[in-house]
Amino acid sequence: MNAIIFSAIFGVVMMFSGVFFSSKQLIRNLAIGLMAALLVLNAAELQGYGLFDINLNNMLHFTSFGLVFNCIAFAATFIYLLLSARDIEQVGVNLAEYFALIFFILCGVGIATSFNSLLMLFLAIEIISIPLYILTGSDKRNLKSNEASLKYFLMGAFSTGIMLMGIALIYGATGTFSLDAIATATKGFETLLTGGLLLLLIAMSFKVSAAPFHFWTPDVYDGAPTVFTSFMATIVKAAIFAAFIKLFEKAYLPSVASWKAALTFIIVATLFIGNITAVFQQSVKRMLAYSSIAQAGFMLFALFGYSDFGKEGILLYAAAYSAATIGIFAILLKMSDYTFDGYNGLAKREPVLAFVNTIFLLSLAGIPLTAGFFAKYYMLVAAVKSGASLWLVIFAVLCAAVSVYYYFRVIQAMYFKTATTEDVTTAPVTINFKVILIVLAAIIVLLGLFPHWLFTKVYF
Amino acid sequence: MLLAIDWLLLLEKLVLIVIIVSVSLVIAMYETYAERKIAAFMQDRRGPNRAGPFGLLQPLADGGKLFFKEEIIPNTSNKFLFILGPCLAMMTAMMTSAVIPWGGTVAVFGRSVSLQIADINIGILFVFGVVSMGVYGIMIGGWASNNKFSLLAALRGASQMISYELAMGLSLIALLMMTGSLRLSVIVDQQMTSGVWNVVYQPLGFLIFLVCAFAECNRTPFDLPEAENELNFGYHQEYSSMKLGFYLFAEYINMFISSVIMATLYFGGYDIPFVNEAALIAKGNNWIQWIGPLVLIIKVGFFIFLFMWVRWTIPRFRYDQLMNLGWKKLIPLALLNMVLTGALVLWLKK
Amino acid sequence: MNWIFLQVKNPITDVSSAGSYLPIAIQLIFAVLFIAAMMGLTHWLGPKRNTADKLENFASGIESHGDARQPMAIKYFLVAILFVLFDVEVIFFYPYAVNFRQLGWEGFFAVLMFVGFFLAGFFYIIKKGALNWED
Repeated sequence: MNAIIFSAIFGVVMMFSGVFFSSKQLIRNLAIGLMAALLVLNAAELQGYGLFDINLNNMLHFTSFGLVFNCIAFAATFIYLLLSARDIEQVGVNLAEYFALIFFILCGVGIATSFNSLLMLFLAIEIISIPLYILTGSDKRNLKSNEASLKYFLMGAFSTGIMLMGIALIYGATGTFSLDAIATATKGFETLLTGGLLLLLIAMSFKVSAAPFHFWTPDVYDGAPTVFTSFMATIVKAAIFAAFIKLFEKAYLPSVASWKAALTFIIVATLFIGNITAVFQQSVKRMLAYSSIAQAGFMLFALFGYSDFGKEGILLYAAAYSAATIGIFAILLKMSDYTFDGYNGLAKREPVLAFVNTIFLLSLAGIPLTAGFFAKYYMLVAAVKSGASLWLVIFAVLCAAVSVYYYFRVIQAMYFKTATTEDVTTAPVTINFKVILIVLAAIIVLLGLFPHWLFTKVYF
Repeated sequence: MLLAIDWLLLLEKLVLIVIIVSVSLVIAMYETYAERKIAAFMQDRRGPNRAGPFGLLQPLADGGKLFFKEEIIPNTSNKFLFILGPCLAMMTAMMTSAVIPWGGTVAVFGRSVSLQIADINIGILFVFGVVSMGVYGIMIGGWASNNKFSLLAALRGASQMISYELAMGLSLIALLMMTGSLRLSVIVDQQMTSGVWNVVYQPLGFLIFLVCAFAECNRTPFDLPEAENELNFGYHQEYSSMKLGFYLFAEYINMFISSVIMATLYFGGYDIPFVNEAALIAKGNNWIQWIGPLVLIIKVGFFIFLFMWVRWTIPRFRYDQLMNLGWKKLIPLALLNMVLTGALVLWLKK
Repeated sequence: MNWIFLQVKNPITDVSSAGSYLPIAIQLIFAVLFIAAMMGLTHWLGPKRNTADKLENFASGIESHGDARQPMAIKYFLVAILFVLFDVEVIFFYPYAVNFRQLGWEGFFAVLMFVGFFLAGFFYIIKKGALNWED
């Protein structure tokens, strides 16, 4: 509850900070300070110090899983703000509003990790989506940004419509919005319920950009201002996965066996399309968009092999993927040229940046000693334990091998190629920026060595 | 099965509807006469005096003339919408009278007949709903004309009406807190039993409502959609014949209806001041129920006179002044009125 | 045929039944018929001598340039959007106003909070200059 209420309040505070303060520095620091406060408040609730005791009629249900997830999302946002707050200033004039929208999205994240009713799920998805439409189009003078925003909005509205229809059908079949009641509902309207769940599955797949509902992703991620792409591709996507897994755990559980086929299809399609298409990209930003689709394919394994192992896996995956992607985007923002060639000779110019970037990329590719390895490992083990066919797991490993190709292209460009033209430059970076990146890389390596400390809180 | 419907009741309602709509049309016609006479009086002229005694037949002549005028639909306009605009305006004007209690229950041919067409439990919300449809008439007409003056006037009119609708809705909430009902008949009944009109408790609310009613009816000082010296003739610039007549009629009917609403909500409706109707009816004096509607008409007459008085007294606002008044003054004031009323009522109840 | 308004004994006078809306439907039909009749009548009675000049848009006698299908000031649009926002909030007050006495002080404080949100949004749009008409 702390997270939801305070993120909303902080969002309003940020909104008004733009009215009262003119100093960008002040607004930026306020946002970072509030973000830290939000993280602390959420951690406090995890320790049992919830500040609110409100009768929610069981519409929200705060579990340690959700709270740990909030912690990961808020910590990632905190690091994101530390790294990229200056770049947010470059996007447009409404600096305070951008921060306010980020806080509002985090409010949605708080609901997405704790909903216990389909109505709340709908609210969470909408609270997350609507600010994103605005952020995508925040580069108002840029036609690509406008196009991306409009595309995202139309497609998002469409998928929300599908979701509502699904919820309506489920309500028709069970007479309730509550997840618990749906799980135990007396059957009798199987067709209605199955139709509703199918529509819901489609809508959620759309929101996490799983194939074949991924078409909006590359254009939107490419068109949005890079600094917001970073936020969208990491924290938001992970949060919707958290909602997805909770939904699956409750609503789909009674008939989980019959959903395996549909899920298998989605996973295979997502992994295949994401990885193969990423290979052919010339722009790193676009490559990352496809890579995010590919990573979504792995995260879907958590649904497939739903178990405590899968739950741990999704936490680790969210943390590893968010940390690495935020880092890569933060470095990408400093490049003048977003193609692979732009990275040529980075190791000579900025050895520290090139080194941490390598760690992030290795983590995304799932190389051992990084968090990404254990994340993928947990996912696949969960799938095997739940009795998945072996060929699916092998297919996933093969796809991970393909992903190594395009991640290593960046590393190759950084270390083994020299910049051919003079105008390939990197924006100057501060020492703080480097320190934060090193900390981030250290976290990834530590998580790769001791993944367990992330879960200690989930069970106690 | 169909026989189960009370056909007499339906017939009675139909007659009532025909009477009330006709009365409001006649009143609208004579409002134009009154406007010209009052203007003449204030400007030391005679006003219309040729058609009939004191020019009393003038509105009939004006109305009749509209039938024989040529219909012109500009060839660049959207034909369907061009015709739909005035029809919508007229229809919304004709629909509001449905929920207003024009009087108590009277005896006709041995039947007790309620002088309210439909006594629905969301009465005032219905009025709001229908009134806000009125903006479509203006907007569609102005846009379909495909004339720059019309479009500008329609835009102005639409944003003015929606802006003042906010303050109007807010000012009414304080009143509803006191009555606890949205039914107009209940609101009138309460004022009749207590003998104190709502305006005594809600002077500020009434004032805000009055100002907003002026703006909603596009009357001076808020008649920007029809500001002749900047916009020629306003949103109905391209209209002629009865389509123009509908716009003008709708405007005067709206003025009449908003006067009725104000009289009903704040001035006791058909309550006869200083007379205890309930006691008289108990003694068998049922004729008193026939006086009620007349009293209501007198109250309404006062408001209509006020509309015209203001028109010939106060100059027009500038557009930014109009918007500032609506958004930055009336809305906070109405909110304050609401909160104060709530606190006071709860405090006194203790 | 089980009409809703037949289920209550005297549906038209019972305010809580849908039948109480029946007279409104009658009035609507009456209004539509009246308007249609009037439009038809004037169409039939009026002269029809159209000329090209008559059918042109009126621009105070000078030749009109272009038409009115062009972008309009964004401010009107802004007012419309803000109206939608605030009107929804105003509508939320209505159910409260009707049940105000039963809810007592507790309800009053809850609504004060809502008024606070309302004012926060209101204050924000004013400070942002969304309602400034004199550029």
